Amino acid sequence: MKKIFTLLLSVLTVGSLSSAIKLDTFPDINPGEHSVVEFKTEYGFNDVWGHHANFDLGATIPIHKHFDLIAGAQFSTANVYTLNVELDTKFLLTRKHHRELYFKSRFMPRFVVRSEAVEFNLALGLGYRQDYVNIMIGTNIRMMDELHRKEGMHLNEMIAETFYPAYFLEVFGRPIDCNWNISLRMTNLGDFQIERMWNPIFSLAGRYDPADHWRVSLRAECKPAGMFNMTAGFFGVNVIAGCSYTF
Amino acid sequence: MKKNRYITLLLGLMIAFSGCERLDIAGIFGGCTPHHEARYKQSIAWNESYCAANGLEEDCIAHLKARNNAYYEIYWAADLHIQGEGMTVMLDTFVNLAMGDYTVDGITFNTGDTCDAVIFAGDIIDAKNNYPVFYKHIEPLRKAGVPVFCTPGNHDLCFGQWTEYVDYWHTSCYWFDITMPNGTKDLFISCDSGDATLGQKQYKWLKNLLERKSKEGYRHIFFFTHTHMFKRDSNNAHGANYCVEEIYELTYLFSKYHVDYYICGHDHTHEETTYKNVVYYTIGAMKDSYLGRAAYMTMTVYNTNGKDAAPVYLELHRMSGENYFSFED
Repeated sequence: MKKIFTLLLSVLTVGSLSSAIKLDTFPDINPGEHSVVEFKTEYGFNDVWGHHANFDLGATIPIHKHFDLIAGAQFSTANVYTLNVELDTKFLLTRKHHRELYFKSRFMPRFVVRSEAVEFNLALGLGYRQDYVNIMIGTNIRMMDELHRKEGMHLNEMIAETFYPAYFLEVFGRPIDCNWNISLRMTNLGDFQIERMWNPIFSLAGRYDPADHWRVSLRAECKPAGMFNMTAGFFGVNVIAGCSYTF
Repeated sequence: MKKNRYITLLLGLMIAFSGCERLDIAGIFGGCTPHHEARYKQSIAWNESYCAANGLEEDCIAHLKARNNAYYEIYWAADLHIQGEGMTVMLDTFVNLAMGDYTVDGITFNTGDTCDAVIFAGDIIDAKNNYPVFYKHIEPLRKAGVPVFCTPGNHDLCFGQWTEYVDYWHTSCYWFDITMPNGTKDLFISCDSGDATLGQKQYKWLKNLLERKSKEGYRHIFFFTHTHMFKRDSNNAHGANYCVEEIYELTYLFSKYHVDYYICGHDHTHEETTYKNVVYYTIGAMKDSYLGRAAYMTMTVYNTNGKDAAPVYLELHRMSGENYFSFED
């Protein structure tokens, strides 16, 4: 297990550093990012947790002109608590159409108290963003364990799943600098959940900037089960409303 | 105009793939098989009438008695993916073995010692029009009086095949038990996870059943279904399994109610994991194209006095046509 952690940490560090080195070879025409704080409330329903509500807090902190640190926490009435830490390395290729390349590394521990379990997710991805599309491919690994390991259960194992492909595809209706936009998204990387590759999360989202610094957003997510089984069925939905303030 | 061409191309590809009756493209978007909640409802309706007619407890389809004083033995197989008459070598061998017929170096020995039951953990067929072939080849088991149980896999359901499945097996959501001569009994529960979820109603049914049965002094509880819980190797990319929320909920449920074994198929590679005191056992595929690595499992449960833990031996056997070798897992 230590080897996996070391490997991932090395990939993350080397990836970030190599990106940083490459960044300086490209014209950076969009320096000086801003900090963002956001708050979201969610209504959720799925077959096993039933109806529940989630409250999300998040912040994006630019630590360098090419690096953003994103941190967030989610509290769910389903008795599930999730933390999310991301390091985004990005650089703008051209201002026209806002062409941007980014490298994302993510760590997401999730404390499923209701089921006495804890999971640790690590995800890495390389993405490309422009006006109408945001696409990312990468990989993720999940480790699961009991929240409180009982003595004498020496046969029990911490589950380390194999590396799964991670993907993110979002198509926008309008250019990035418009004060409102709508989008369709398919991914296995949610804001506070990381699914296996064959359980995609579909979203329809919209955002509006009513004033300087302020943004409101609304998103509906649907998670089917068994799509890759050729017998798809409903599993759960989320409706997420939020607002953010940019400093 | 250009968009219309893309849409036509996409629809054409979907029809072409679906037309080959191997890949149910429409199933990705829901398909024509009834939704898992509808299948659950239909299964429970059949259970009610069957149990009332036979004087059985709710959702119980059989009370079996061990044939031997010292132990009972169950043969398990999953992911046979039968595709017509030419692809039943493994199944025929398995059926013979379950009936006590062993073939070594071309010589068949009939021991007459049949197993106590046979369980198929889903994906018995690969695609349309193969149910009659499968049923024909397991007929010797029926004739020999060996109880055969099944739980549906995704391939058994796609292309709207639920109707054919339920015509023969009647239910996908049920339980049965096996009683030893000294009165100790073990519980076996089947759930339909063909859609990679149990669904809300079936999940509640399972929860209530486990809550009730865990107080009735069963020595072992075995849960069997098609979909695997964990995927720890990268041997193949087969199979969508449960959403993560369901995995946490199910593993908690099984641990809380002292389920001993979760036995499944779906992933074609054998895997065994112990998590929260429950053994999650993926049998592996027993399909003809897996010569040398096709697998079936035998479960031998020994007799003990009272509620003391009784040894359960799960043996995985690799098959290669009629000549097979086995190892203890």
